[in-house]
Amino acid sequence: MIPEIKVPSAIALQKINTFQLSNGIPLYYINSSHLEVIEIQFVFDAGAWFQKKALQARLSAGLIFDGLNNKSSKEISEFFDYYGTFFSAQADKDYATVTLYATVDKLKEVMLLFEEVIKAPVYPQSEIDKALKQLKQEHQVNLEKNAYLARVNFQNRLFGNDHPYGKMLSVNDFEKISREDLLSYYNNFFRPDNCKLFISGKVDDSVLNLMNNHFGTNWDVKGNLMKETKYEVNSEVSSCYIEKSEALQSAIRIGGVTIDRNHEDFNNLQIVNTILGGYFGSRLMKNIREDKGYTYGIGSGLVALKNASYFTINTEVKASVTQQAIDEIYKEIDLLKAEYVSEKEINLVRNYLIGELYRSVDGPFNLMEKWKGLILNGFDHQKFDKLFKVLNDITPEIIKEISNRYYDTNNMLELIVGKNK
Amino acid sequence: MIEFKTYKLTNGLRVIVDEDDTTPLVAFNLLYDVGARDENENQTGFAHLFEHLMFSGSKNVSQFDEVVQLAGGNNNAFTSNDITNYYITLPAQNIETAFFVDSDRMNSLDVSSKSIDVQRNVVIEEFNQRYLNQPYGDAMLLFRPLVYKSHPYSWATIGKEVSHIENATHEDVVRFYKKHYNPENAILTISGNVKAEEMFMLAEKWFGSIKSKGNYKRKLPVEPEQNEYRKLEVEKNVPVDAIYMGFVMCGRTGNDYYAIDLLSDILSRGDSSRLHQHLVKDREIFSSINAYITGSLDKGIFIISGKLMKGVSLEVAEQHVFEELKSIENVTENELVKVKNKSISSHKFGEVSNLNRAMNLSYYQLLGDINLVNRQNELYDSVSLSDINRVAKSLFKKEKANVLYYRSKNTNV
Repeated sequence: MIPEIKVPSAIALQKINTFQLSNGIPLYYINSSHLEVIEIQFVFDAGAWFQKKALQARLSAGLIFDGLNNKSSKEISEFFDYYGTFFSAQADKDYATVTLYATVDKLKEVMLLFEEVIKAPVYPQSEIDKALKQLKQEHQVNLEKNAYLARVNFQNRLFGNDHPYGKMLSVNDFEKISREDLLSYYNNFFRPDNCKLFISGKVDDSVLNLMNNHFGTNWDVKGNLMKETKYEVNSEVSSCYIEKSEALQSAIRIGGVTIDRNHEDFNNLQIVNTILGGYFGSRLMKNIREDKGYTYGIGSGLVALKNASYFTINTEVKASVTQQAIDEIYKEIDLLKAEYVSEKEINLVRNYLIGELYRSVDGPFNLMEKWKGLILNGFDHQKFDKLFKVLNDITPEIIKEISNRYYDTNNMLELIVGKNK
Repeated sequence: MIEFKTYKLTNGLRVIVDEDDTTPLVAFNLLYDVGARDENENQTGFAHLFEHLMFSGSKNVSQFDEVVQLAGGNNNAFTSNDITNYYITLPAQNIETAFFVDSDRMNSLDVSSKSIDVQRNVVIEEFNQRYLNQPYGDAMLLFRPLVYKSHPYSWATIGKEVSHIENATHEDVVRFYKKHYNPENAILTISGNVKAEEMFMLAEKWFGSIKSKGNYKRKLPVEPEQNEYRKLEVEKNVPVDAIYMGFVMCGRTGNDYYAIDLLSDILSRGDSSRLHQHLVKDREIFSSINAYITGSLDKGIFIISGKLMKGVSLEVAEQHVFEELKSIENVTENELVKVKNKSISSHKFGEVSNLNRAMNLSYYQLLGDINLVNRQNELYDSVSLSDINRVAKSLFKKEKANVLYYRSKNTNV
């Protein structure tokens, strides 16, 4: 009656192609010749990690399309819009990424302007002023969102206020940033010697030549590539409660610093994380949502940044059951540490994760995201291929051992934004 | 171009297959022709609550999610005012598992009192998290009844109020299931590494013997013509004022749909759009502004909403928006070509994902003409400058406007 399930076998990661531009910029690409679209990503080591002032990374990336010597922000967007091209530029904690999405038939038309945007943005003062006004207002709205407050305060207590991963934005920061700050940041970090290119979609030789012609030469640099600063993590591990008097729900975040991607236990910890709270059928979801109905969603995750990793359990629960939800979270962690997970459950998670691995590399855009993660962290295809082996080899004993080693409930940061009663 | 094959079972279930051997996966998308518009006005939020209950287990499948996960699958669903859509993506060799679980819950869903109790609470928390506990979260819940006086679109999919969800009984649930969850009300699309003939055989095997449990003939109240300007003002705990302005437009199959959609793009798609350039960048009236359409099957709403810059009054902001709407009469060929190109571009990007293609195929089948899936670019391209002018003139009349002033309590901060 029940259809037979065939467990998908391991798949080898499809190869990525490499090409080097004349000036040394490495270009990684995936060619899907049956498509009519293309995605081009410039990735610079220019995330918040490198900034000396709040908003420096974010605006140096975010305003890159907002002005050239002879073209205004409006003219630039008008031009890209006319050719049906989408663009985005943003900075996260580690990287700044500038992306162009185009249809193959219009790519040549927009390349010259794209080249100018990457090589010579001018950051007009008027655009900076407008952006700051908008961002300041957006910030004020964010301060009313419990999930936002929970996230930034959690990172702040985990890493400390002097650490780039922990520093919180304050309303004064919007007054302190200048055009000079953005120009110098651009010169120091948005350069060919600090850049990797990732292109996916219909990428044939003509595209590679186009990229080389526009970005492989005549890209002069000003100043030096800045060296990284080292930072110390200053965790404040304890409880923290931020009250929101009108709150119907409390946002809860529990977690701590953990091992990084290079650690031999990392893959096993990922599997344990999935069991705990990494999918819809997880321990946390089954208990706190499906059994108790306390929340619309609860999950756990491992966040592996370039220079640190942390794990977090987060949810938004009905305010009146805040403490009960927290108790249940600890109960589930303790259960994982005390009792062996059944083979049945391991099998379920194994099959699900194999399916997730399949989905994560399905199609050129997903495949490229996977490769981008590997390349930026200095890994090759073996890191991906190994996952199938780890999934195959996991046992109840390993899960128990890993849970006990890495989930120390006495040393977790616990944060609530909402109402504890 | 998407190539597809279609088939219909005797019980009315429509099956569509889009073969794609460039992927090892398959997307299995089952769309039910039932949405919030089919609810009783004293029992709103039901279609969405029921969507949650569809995961409670069925006669041969006590744990829906687990069976799917065991097959390496991922699944989810969503409800709108018009439809409820369920989907599974999984390795192609396990496609039969998707047929098994979805046919079982169409035929013999097992809803216990406990599941109803739990999902009631979960949905209430969803209500809180997404609508009541978020700044501006309840705006559409306030706006809809302003626009619609008779039609069920006057309430949002989440429901009019939490109490409707609280009062849902086991009887109500069973009645809803029998009325709407039937093969003649469903459209199944499969997109991925499969063969159409085999999928049609599996459809017969698993869905063929399912009989309809009920009979639903949709007969919704017609929304009367609006002939007066309507305004609602509320004061909430938010940092800045916001405004919502809406004009009733045709439904998804209306002739002017494509022109109106492009009109919304001319107004606010991309940084070079009119509202963004004039009202955000140049005059700094808004910190953000958006024009979009609800895209519903019955008469929809053309909405302009934005957050005001501090110091600007709602009255002034509203005036500026009306001026922009009037100035559409000087729209240029360049602007039209621009938004057409953007539209074509997004359609091309949208066709890359199997799941997206499957959802679209089901949806266009629901509209009554599945070939529309390959005609979108042509239909958008056929819109002329005079079409844009004509629809703008007829839509944006003062006596057709619905305006919500969402005031901040903290005017002096």
